[in-house]
Amino acid sequence: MPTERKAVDMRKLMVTTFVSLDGVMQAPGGPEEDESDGFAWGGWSVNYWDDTMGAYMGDVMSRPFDLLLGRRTYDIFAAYWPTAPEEAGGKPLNDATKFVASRSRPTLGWGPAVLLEGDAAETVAELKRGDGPELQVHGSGNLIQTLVPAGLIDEFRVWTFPVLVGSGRRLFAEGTVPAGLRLIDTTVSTTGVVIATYEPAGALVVGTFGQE
Amino acid sequence: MKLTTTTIVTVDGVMQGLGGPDEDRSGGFERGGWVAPFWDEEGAAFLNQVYGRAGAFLFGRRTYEIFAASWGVWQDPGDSPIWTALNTKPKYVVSSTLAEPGWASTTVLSGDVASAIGELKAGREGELQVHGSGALVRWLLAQQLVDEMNLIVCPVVLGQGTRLFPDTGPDMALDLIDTRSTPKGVTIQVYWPTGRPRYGTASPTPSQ
Repeated sequence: MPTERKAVDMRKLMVTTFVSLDGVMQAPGGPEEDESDGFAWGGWSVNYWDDTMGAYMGDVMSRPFDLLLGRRTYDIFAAYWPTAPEEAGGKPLNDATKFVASRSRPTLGWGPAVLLEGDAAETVAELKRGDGPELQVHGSGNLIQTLVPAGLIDEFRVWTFPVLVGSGRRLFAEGTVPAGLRLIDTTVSTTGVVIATYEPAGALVVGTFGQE
Repeated sequence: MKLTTTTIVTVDGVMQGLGGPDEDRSGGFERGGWVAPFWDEEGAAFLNQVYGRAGAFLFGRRTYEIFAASWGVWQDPGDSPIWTALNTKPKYVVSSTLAEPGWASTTVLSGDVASAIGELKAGREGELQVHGSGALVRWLLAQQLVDEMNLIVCPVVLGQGTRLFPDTGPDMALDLIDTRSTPKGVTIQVYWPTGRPRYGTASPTPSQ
């Protein structure tokens, strides 16, 4: 009987996502970051940055990791981080191997970078079975829509900003596979951002709540 | 009265059918009963405190009927602030179809509901509390009538069901007033709406 490789041996895939209180993850950083589907409310996260969030992100960036990015987030990072090596996060982001999931064949000028061609659920599953440090996903809303239903995410770091955006692409879309989560940690910024860390905790469990 | 909303939601923002599989199957919803595994003493204590501040209740029709058929018919357990508040405080239900509410101390609001709620807010002590009642909460938010939102977030993703916040709704900034988490992984956040958000442009910090 073939022995399956234990999950514990696989590379951990950690996702960091900025979401609004109404669950929108589209274009947190600026109006032109992602205008797909006519989204006109980009830049909703930028007035909330504080030292707590900076320190938290610095901690995430301080351990060995490779990046796993969708093409759009890769392009946004590639246009900025090579020019800002001294900024917080600049060195680890520039040094990390960037695995880029794309259905087209983009030029990956910001290296080291590896193109993941074909079905992202398959290529990322393969990537996780290989050797290497933690895989971190930042942004990459389209890619996450593939990773979530495929059950490939080992840790969610959901940064919930105290703002309703009113429309836009959500982290957990209709049709996401139902699943229990385990809350590992919460950190709260001085500006009202709640950073919750969740791990998958198996299938959905339901019951009836009422007077005993 | 301050108008407060209290909503139990999943991490993906769904509020439908929390109490049991048959509580609300509208729209083909099949994943009801998701709150039970996460209910613990700290969550209950928070909810008891909320209900203890109630001066009156404001319901949407669907939640009113669910509550009337449960809290409205259950015997007084003697030690439940929730039961006591729901069965002793005035209740208002927004509905254009409900003619004879079956639960005592209920007044039906129809017609110019915004004015009626404005009068309620002006004239009483305590909180005017909305529990559940998603359609009503969405309308109240759009009308800027909400003074405080309690969000109780259960650590589960459903991928189906009615969300508290619609696909198309108003944009709004809020202040986080209080936050805590319970041993079973529920996070509780209290927000005060503060008006329109400010948008801006940042250098791409690592999650943007």
